Amino acid sequence: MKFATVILCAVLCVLVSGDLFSQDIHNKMMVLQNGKLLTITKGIVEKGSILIQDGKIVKVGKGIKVPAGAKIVNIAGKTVMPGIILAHSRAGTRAKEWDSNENGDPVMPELRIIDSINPQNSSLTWLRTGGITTILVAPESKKVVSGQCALIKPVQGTIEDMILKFPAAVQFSMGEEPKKVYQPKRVLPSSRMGISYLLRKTFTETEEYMEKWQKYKKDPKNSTQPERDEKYEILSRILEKKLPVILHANRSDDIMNAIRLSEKFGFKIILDHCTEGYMVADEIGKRRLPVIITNVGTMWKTWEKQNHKVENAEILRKNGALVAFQVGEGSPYPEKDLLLLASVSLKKGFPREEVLRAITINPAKMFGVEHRIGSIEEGKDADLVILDGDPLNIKTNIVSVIINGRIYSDSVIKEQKKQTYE
Amino acid sequence: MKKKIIYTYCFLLFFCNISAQQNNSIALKCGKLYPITGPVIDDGILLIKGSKIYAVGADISIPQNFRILDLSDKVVLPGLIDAHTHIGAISSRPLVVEYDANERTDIIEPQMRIIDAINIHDESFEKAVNAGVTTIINRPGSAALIDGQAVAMKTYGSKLADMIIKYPCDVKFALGMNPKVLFGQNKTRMGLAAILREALEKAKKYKEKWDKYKQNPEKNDKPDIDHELEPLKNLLEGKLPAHIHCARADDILFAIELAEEFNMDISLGHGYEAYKVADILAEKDIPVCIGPELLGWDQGKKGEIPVDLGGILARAGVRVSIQTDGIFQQNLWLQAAICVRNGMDFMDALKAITIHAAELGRIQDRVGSIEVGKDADLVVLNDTPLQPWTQVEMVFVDGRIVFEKK
Repeated sequence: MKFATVILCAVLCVLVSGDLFSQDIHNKMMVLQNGKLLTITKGIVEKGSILIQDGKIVKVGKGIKVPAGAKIVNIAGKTVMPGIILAHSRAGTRAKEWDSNENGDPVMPELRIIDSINPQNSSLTWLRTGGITTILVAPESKKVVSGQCALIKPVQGTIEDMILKFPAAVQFSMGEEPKKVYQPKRVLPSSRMGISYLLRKTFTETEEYMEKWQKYKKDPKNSTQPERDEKYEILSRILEKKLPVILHANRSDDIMNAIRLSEKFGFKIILDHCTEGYMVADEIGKRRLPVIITNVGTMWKTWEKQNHKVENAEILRKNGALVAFQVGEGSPYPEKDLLLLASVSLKKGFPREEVLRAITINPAKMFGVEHRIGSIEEGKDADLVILDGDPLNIKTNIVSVIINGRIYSDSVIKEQKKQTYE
Repeated sequence: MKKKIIYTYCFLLFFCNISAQQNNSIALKCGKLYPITGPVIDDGILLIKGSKIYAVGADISIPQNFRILDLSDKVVLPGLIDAHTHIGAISSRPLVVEYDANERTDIIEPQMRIIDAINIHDESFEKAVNAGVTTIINRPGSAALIDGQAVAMKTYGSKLADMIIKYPCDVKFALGMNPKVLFGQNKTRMGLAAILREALEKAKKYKEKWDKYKQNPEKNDKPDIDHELEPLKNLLEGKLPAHIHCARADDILFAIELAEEFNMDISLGHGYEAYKVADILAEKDIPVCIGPELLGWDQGKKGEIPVDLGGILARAGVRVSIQTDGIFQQNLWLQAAICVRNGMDFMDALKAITIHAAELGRIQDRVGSIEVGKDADLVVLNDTPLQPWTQVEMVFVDGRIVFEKK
């Protein structure tokens, strides 16, 4: 009897103290102990610990007292950074079937990308292996207004479990992309004039719609209730500055058109791609505009990206823009390796700490979720990446990814082991 | 008298010119030197004489007449090689009509020569040089089953003829989706295989005719030269290898089968599914050039490419090289870096953009490593190669400095 108890205890001990990284345990309380913490907003903490409770970061610092019942994860010699935010992607909407674009009218803000995201899509878990814990999923830029974007976390579950913020923004597009769709059909918009006109018309209609409702709300008894229109409902939230616009603009004139339009009607814009941004960097910089830059050039199939330069990110940052990175449509390089693709900007003088900010806190600020994600701070979501060295070094491996306090051990190394040819 | 003076002047000019070239004697004091084919040398000395590497090692005394270049805080590598590209034949500006990499008038067109389509003034060449890519293998294709003859060339030079290392270096074939769809006719793999075999059989007969004639030139009639069959005859005679574009594992196996049937020497391009047949490729020592897509999941267009394809193949013993397949030679570093990030050994990744790429083009006697007698094509870096922050400081082609960072 006694012997059996000893054996049982021994087995339990082995189970509990075993390699915790290899198990997917959703623990209510967990302490990551003695790691190098890159908090992003509050400097670097050497030999620091993080207390996680119910998916949130409760305490960050040195010598945290371990509460009773908390799971201890020793991360000595490891580096922890906040989960990476991919600021623009189509992940989850494409597999053999593509659901990232709806044909038809060039202005459709009523479309919702969450209706196209398949939580079972392998691209989501694949992005997670690269340390990406939040993704902005946007519809394609083939329309002038192509729909509402979502900020999601690649966790297991339904789309409701995944959503961090919806709608997070509305995707707009200027320049070549909508032209390519509507020009062959010989319908509006077939030129840059047409695109700008359509946007002016749409926003004027929205202003009228808002006026009608304001008038009605002032005196509901003596006026008839206007008809509700989903399209203008979304657009009025944009004009109320409650929802930002992600604006696909590559050429410098498209960028300036976008800025002009946003100032005329008063809405918040986030410049998407912004390829020729360096040509109008002072204009973007003095307005402190957020930009989501495609850092690495590939074989463009469009004219508007031909003046791509890696210097773009650094020039815009120096001028005052808030920089984030994306991988870009049709890139032959893995979107999951955003960390590495963003690091390429180091070659042109982009500072090291700014690279990390551009894939964490900067995009969090852009989408108004900096109270939830983007840094290692008390009260924020426990979205963390544990690495075995400097995140920007190519020889560094991602050991574990934590989302909402849950350890996902489908790390890069494990994936590789599975695929290694025996 | 006047004539004599002119002659003497001319002679002197000529002599000075030659001696200037021969006098290109430079000694590089390198902080770290990656010969690639040998172990890394710390504080190494590299001597350049003329256009070639004269000596390399840790304890080499610098002869008197050598100009010393102090690179003691720098890292020196052989010039990079992009194992498959189309620059100059495809304009670096998108959507322009200057697209000369595919003839597209016949599905079998080995008579096409990429050297007739290369615009060396395209800005891609300058970008390649500035990124340290000093050699490229420029190929036609891949719309047809047999696309034409490729060239191994330097990226720096004022005349194409001077830039060529080896022409032809191989004949480009394409299997699978591209010739099925891009050529404009809906063909099947069965149909493509039949056409390919027919062309090679024709070449075999053509070769036999020539063999017969050469055995007894006086008795037999001299056969007519057939431009289409001439390159294929070279293939069958083993004078030229075939470079075969393939994606699916069954296409790779078909390529191997065809090579054995017709006794051809082959290398493979793209090989997205090569991981499924890695042991066969290693056993038969068939070099594979991967890329440009290095995805683990690619939105369903080309199937599942393991993100560590390079690593899987290298660990199985396959000689792996990397290609940009296009106008962004500066991304060759990044592509190797992506491979390392996803599990490929660091030295394997360096080999993939130097010596293994040279071996794929059969030009390893000239370029691909820092060895005595090879061309003095070098890249000088300010830090460890492949790291995202590392910058190219200086580039040598044929012993001359062709790029220097300001």
